[in-house]
Amino acid sequence: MSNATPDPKSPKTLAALEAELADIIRERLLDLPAAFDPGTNLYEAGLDSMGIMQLLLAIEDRFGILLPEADVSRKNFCNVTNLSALLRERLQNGCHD
Amino acid sequence: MIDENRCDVVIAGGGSAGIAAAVAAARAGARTVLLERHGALGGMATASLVHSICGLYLLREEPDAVLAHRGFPAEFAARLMAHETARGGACGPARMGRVDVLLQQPAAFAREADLVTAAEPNLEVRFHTELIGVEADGSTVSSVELICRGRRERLLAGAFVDTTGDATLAWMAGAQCEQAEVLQRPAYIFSMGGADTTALGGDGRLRVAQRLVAAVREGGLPPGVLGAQLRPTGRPGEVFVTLDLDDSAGEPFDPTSPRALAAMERYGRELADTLSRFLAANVSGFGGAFIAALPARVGIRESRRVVGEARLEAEDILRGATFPDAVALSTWPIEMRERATGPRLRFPEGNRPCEVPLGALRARGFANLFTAGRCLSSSHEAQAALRVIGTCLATGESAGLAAAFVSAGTEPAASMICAKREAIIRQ
Repeated sequence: MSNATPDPKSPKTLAALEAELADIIRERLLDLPAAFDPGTNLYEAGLDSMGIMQLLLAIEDRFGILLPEADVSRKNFCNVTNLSALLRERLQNGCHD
Repeated sequence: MIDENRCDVVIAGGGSAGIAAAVAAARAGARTVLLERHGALGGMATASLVHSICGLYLLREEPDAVLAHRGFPAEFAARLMAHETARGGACGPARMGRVDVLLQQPAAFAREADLVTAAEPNLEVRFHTELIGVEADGSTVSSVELICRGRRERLLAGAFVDTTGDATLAWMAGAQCEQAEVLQRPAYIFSMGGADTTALGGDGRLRVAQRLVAAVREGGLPPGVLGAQLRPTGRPGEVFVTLDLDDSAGEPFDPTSPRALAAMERYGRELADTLSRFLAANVSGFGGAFIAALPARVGIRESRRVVGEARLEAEDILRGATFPDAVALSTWPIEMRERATGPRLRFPEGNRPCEVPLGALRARGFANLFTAGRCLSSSHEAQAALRVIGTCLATGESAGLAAAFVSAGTEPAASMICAKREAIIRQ
């Protein structure tokens, strides 16, 4: 799985992170609608707290960080845009929980 | 020594589909016997504590829930809501993501099922009863043999409806059945009491999800709890917990194997115990919480399916298929639960309902054997939409009416079933 990402800590553009997260969600979690874009509401696509657990695990597998409790909110996980912004912040500056 | 009795219609299995089938057949004038292996009706909704009724409402973007079905599903939903209102509680539709469900209490479901069946003079209910034999000649079923604590009974009837969920009657009758290699995962649902449910408000449930992930990563919890869903009921201190059981039970999952079922039931209880102890020790709001109720049995999403005169496919669900012999509607997305990692949902184009043809409720080659509920004739993927309780109520009602016609010597057409349903509504 990690061979797709040479260095998970390397700075990424937001667009690259969004694409990577969308792939993770599509592969491991949800049949995303054809009209999916980073702003699509993930809860309406079927994401629930069970899915969020899987997403947290997948993010840890791919990027090497478990998002802390304080970061896990409906707002941060409601779409790929918000989640990518949060993840980029954590990848660059670490987690201060 | 075998007791022998005769009736017009036998309904095997007293879950949602069976209740609807039995009440409908009785109201259509058939002397009906409803068989149930537990001491309460309701199936998944009572024995397995499934507390959200899916498939009752139309799929729509707009916020308000609109009932998809006329007849018995609407009547029973109204009963459940009135039951809670009369006791100072609340029961009503709730939006989850982009679907509407009816949040219900298993105790209310069991009680209302008693009341609605007891009100029918043509309907007799047999509890604690298992099927042990079916007499059939390849195209007609003539009787079933039952057992209650060693006491046997032969029941002869003119028509039969298999609402067992496992196609038990059809299988024993020699009707064609099928079962997927990889089934939808079973759900293990239990309730907890003594929780401060305000801790689950706002982002509370998601934070608990994060705590569980962290504990699994640190080795403090087994990976099996990763599916846990916590849902406060609105009653003081009460939370339902749903786990989708993974493959860790040590026996390949097969809902018709008693060994596999033993492994699943034990595994469910083990996870419930482990998870509730973790919550009590580590999660705010759960300090005084305890397991209040375990299910009578693990919640089966998919088992054997009957092969009918027609078979619903995923494509039918996704395009909102219509049929000349439609007798019911399906309004739930395809909800795949093959992995214990949460659902994969596929919605029909334009949120269109899919019609259920009478042929999907009739065992192939059999004149007097019908089916409804989660074992109706469908592919594995279509079943992932059709299995839900709202659709079980709707298909059950139609299968019961069809069986009543057959037992009276009339070959049922879909139009006759729909007309009969309307006539019953008018009464």
